[in-house]
Amino acid sequence: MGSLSRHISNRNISWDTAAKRAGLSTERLHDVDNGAAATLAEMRKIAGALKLPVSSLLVEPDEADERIKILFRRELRAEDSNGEAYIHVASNQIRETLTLAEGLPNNTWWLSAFDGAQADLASAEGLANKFRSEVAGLNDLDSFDELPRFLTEKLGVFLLYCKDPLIDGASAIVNGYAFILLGPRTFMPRVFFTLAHELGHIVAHHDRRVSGYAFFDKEGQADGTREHSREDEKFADSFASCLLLPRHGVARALKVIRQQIMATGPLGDYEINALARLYGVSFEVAGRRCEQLGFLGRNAARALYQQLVHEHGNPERRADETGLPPRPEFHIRPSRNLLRHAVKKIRAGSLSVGKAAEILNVSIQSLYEVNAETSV
Amino acid sequence: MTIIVDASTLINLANGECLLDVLRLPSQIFLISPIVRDESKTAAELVDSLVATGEIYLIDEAIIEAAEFALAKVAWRLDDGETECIIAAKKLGLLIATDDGLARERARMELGSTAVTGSIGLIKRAITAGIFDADFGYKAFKKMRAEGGFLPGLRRCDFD
Repeated sequence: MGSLSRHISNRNISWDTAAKRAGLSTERLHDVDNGAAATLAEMRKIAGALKLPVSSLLVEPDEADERIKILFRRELRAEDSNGEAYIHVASNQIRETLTLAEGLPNNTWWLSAFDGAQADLASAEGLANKFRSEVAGLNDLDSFDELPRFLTEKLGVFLLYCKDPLIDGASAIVNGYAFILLGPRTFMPRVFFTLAHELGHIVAHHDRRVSGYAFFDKEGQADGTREHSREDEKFADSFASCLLLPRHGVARALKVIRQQIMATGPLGDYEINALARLYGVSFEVAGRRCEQLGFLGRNAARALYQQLVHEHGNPERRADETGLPPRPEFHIRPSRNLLRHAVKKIRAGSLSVGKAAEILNVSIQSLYEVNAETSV
Repeated sequence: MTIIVDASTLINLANGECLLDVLRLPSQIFLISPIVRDESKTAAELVDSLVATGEIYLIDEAIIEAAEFALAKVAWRLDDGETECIIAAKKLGLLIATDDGLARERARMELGSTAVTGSIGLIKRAITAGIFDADFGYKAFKKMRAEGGFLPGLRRCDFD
């Protein structure tokens, strides 16, 4: 099976649909997949139809890619029969970033805080609290909206947006470097939770600092919107939830919110929306945390969510209608240390600005901005 | 003379607020690759309007075989846009304008040094052609540098 077949299969679309989106005949698409000579124009159309960079369809993986692929394959789920296409794009991005990052200090030293700790559902809250207090120096009340900056600037974790938008998130430790890849999404609270979820996977693999691991979550698997059956996913979700919504902070916040609106009955959508906005997470994530902490009955958050969708379109619209303060503008940016390092290499003439932008999946203009900031 | 403009030069000229002036260079046709158009996110709207008005033309990607692109991509270690620009310039016997050090080095090897220019070279041509004066050219250069363009340090007298 050619790489086109894998990507088409991954996207759950038919050959006819893919061909139509690319503006080619289905027959031609099959020909190209079977190795017929194609022009760059055709390959760009196909890549556009699959929402992939054209080079991911053209450039064969090298040996270093294969080593990272093996790490991904070890963690591959049985149900991910089409996992190879995701692995191909993510492995290549990690391998190229490793080349770019050459000379940067290792960024897994902080995982020693978890030495000897077992990562299972029962220990998720303890490990999340340990991260908050021992690694980040936070109390058990504060929101953690600085998590992206903390991970990238203080811990040096390599945070990038993944080139395959069908990946919700991926995490890896390769050659002593910790990576988090995030799927590009417009609703930042979802991305924020995915970031914490992927951090959970890294913490769970704290004992693999030398041997390495690599793991990806498909769309909808790491944004806190679904129940998982796998233990490692349950752990990552629970870790993320406890990390972003600390028990005492949530309890105190709910008390204050309910006093303000003089609420006496069961928890309603107003309190959950207020909590969600206070801690930068989605309504679903805040609601599920309330369930975990016993403030809501099991599945009550889901029922409230469905009611809001039915009556108001979505929880965000409902929150605006009830007069809650809008969410502050919030961005999760790729690691500045990687961008700064890339700029150094561009200045030295050992890396092209376009190549750096391609590897880091950022705009060329953003590298210009870093260059302007760091120019003497 | 026809010049293929790479993203680094396109963005620099746009940042220097002199792109439209440079495109008025007499007897010059400017081409841009569709990949570069996509890469130049901040200038993409401007590029679209220039393409619509015929001030700049898109390269026909059908002239490039996907296999030759893939080989060059691995060998040259440049990005998609830089790679496409150099292949197209080589196939069509055209000049290339790029401000990236590594891309310029590769372009010189593939096309010869006389076929390679960049934003500063285009600004100097515009000064020579009387489109704007050296003061304007130097100010544009300083804006490009202030916006983070990867450009060498030049003085006002370098534009005379």
